[in-house]
Amino acid sequence: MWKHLHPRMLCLLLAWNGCANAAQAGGSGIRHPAEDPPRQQEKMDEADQPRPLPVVTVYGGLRHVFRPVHQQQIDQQALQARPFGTMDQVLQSRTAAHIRSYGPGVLATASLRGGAASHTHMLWNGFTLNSPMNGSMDLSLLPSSLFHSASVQYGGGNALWGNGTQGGAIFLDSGFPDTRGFFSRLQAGTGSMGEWNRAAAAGYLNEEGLSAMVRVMRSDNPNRYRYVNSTLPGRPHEIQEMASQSMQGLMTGARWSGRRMQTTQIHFWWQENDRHIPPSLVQSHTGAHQADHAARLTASWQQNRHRSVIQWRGAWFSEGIHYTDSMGLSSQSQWQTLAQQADILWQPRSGWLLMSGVQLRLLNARADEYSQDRQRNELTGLLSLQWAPPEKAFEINMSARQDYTSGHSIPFTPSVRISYRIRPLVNLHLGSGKNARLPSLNDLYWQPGGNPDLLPEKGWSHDVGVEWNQGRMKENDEGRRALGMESIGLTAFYSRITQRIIWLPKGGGMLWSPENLQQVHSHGLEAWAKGHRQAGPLQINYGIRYHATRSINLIASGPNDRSVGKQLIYVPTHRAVVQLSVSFRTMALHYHHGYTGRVFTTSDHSHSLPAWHTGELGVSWQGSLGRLRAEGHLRITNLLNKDYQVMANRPMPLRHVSLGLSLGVAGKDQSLQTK
Amino acid sequence: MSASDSAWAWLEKINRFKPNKHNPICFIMKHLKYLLIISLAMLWAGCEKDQETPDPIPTEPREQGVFILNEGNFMAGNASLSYLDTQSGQMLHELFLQANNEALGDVLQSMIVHQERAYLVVNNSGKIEVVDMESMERKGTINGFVSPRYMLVVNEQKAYVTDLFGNSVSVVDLVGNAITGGIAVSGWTEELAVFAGQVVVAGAGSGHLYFLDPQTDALTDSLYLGASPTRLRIDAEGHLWVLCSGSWDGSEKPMLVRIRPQNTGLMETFPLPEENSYYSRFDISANGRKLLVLGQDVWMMDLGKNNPTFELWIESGGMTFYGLSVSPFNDHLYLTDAVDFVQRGTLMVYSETGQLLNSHLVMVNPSGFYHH
Repeated sequence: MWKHLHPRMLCLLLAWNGCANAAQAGGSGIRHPAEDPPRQQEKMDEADQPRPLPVVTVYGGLRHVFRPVHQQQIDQQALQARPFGTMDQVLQSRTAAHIRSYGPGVLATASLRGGAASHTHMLWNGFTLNSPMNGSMDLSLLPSSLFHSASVQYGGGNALWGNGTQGGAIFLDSGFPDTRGFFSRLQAGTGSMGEWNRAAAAGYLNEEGLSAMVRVMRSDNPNRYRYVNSTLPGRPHEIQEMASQSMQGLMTGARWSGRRMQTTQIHFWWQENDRHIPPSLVQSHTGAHQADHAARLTASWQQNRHRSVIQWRGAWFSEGIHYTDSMGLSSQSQWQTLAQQADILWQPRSGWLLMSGVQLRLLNARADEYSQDRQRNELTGLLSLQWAPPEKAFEINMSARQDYTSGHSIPFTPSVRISYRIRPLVNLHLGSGKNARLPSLNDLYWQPGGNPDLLPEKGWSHDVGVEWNQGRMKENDEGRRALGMESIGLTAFYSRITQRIIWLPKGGGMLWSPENLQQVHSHGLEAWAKGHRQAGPLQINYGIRYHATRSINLIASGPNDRSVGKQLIYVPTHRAVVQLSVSFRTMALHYHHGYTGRVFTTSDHSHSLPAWHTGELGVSWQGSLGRLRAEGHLRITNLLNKDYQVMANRPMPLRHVSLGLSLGVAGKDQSLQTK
Repeated sequence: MSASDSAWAWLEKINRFKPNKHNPICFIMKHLKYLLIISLAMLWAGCEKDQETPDPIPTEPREQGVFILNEGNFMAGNASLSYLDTQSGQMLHELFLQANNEALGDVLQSMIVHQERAYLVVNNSGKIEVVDMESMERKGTINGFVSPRYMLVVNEQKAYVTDLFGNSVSVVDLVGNAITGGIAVSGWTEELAVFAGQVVVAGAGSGHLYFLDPQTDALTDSLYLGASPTRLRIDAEGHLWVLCSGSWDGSEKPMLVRIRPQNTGLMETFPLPEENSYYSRFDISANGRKLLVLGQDVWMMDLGKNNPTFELWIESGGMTFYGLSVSPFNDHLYLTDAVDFVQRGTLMVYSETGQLLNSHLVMVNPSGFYHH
């Protein structure tokens, strides 16, 4: 039977054997025997014969069946809590990813486990968002309200997700709300930076048959904020006047769920963005301007059979950037991506899952700095196996991937993950995998400096993690009172990247060119806990996450290189986030606190930026009258009024305030809040 | 139930607390030793060395030595001025910051001295800082440039300043410390020199050598040399040497051009040895005998020979040579290694025969010199 699970899930995955009950309880999308408590296990033991694969509704692809050692979900509630925010703000407050932000409305990229922006693989509906030209994705161009769910995978995952997943992956998905019937919503917001934001969403949803929805947004933000000019004597407060931004976007989707266990989906995402790029504190000239545009289309068809799932997915992206400044510079670049992917998931017998897939990806890029249009064709073959015998406490996942690319050979990338239930509520995870990253088109063809002889980066990553998950017991023991802490986990990792591509000066420094030179190893620990407590009428939710990362260069570029053995620049050793939410009837109070340790700005550690704290306090209210819903929120960002810089000479805003109002009609099943 | 009632109920619940294997507090207590181990492991994982302590920075430069111009990182605002006392070997750093309690700016490009005042051209800050030569205290700031590169004093009251994006050579009033005009040229301009009674400007963007009349501030002539003329030097015989760095795509190779003052239209060209390298700097010894040019390595040409050729003088050996200058006082070669361009560089001093005499740690991206 078809079923769409709780919207908290990034993408709904496969359940088998006795796991359908758990899925109906609205919890985890995929249940691993190694994670099930004894009572659940007993049910599994009764299953002698394979059952039909019961539940599959996949936005991001079947490959989500094979989970990494450490993944963090960001539900739609968290995305909607920031209706006019962008993904850099969401990830900064909710995850331990280090967001390298140049300021509001300006470039922001994600660094996971000490990697560069190009080592963080961004995917939308399972397709790569990273620009093939520079290998990274600007998070400040991603309005969080356009997405249904998101998740962060910490650590390498090349075998499943492909090129450029050394540091981890961020999955964004445009799913459908967990409701039925008609729903709609109008939102407006403003704030102390002078912003004026509008958004609307509407849709008609069915479990079977046709569903459709559309989200639109428009944001005009002068980004007029106060900051501290640390380069002047006395560190005066100044007002940013040159960071205005306007953004408009549309996300629409349609789904047809047929009676013959078939689902067809199509999603279209169009967006335009215009922004002035403010000068750094040490720049004299202004007038830099960047216009981005993107049209992205994905489609999928899926059929559930008795013991298999067949899925086809396709994507077409057309994107471009036009940069100009007052000095007469004008640089225009455009690129198109066409991707086709076919996967089949097969359950040959109980406890076994086999997946094979093939993907074809065609890239075309045009830039003023390329001597001609550049193309890259990629063909990928993937094979994954999962063995999770119902009567056993372990689960083994193995994947192997081979990419074929015009002009380059990419190494064979296998991976393995083993989970073992060492206690009823405690699971041990072990993972290991090979990773690789192709040079970006800029690395290869940028004039001047591009190096067409570059080799792919490659390396291995290893994880070991332990997780205590009380929430699973709670799901299956309905009468039990909530116990507070829901899960706590710890993961240790080690990874090594060889042939890392870095741009180095040539011939006296006037010409920069990339080389396969650096060798970097990273190790660290990631700890997290989250919980829920009912205290009288108060609902208390909390979460804490701490990551310690050491990412070190191992190779000297020359005899005077003093960077060997030292932490890479702009990689904080310590990063922690704390979230606390207290709800009382229709009111809720939220507090997010983030800590980022000192980052070095020179590779010999002669210069650094100090550690910084950020606090964010929000209060929200929601009311209803029948199916009519109203919500309001007030948020104070940088509550502690701290002067800090994430990137040198790019001051972040001092304390600022935003507020918003939402009105709408809820669907039949759930409140508007979860739409 | 009110909020205060809830709080009291919560406290009572804590008082009634009984061990329970599913209670997280019990779980934590039971596994305290593991948590301790985990905490220690986190401390280990998070261990990092402290930021290195900067060298002590004395305040006053000595009288005989060389200023080293550290560009700093683009957009990082960490440009700085260092000074090597060639008598004692003492190295001083951050002279401007020490004297003015303010960062110098972004990308220190060049420096000249005129009437006991140093003019520090700060490229990406679009300004020229005017400082007292002894105390390094600021005496003025010339603003209004787009991306200034080099400066040449043409008389007691006036100087010319080239620009990366300005499409003109700025005319600067040295008394009022202000831009008073501009001479339109095409594109990016680099170094300037006085040659044959005129001011010549390397037009890196257009491939031309521009001739300016310092009396009228007019463009009087131009001469096409080749791709990317950037550096200018006058040798002991009054010849003008121009380094053409070549085109980015390699279609035009780098070369040196010699122009005689008697006939500025007659050019002699000298192809450079590593034709696939980008040549960025060259210098000529005070006696005019030796020309050193910087590509990937340092090459020497003996100008005393009839048919001079280049010979390898100093091999880079994995270093990233960035700045080059020959002392006008003793023909010592001052060469810098910028390493990876995101750390402090190294200054190396070579004898006139190419022997390494000493080396010093300087600041980020040392590129220019002023011999004092």
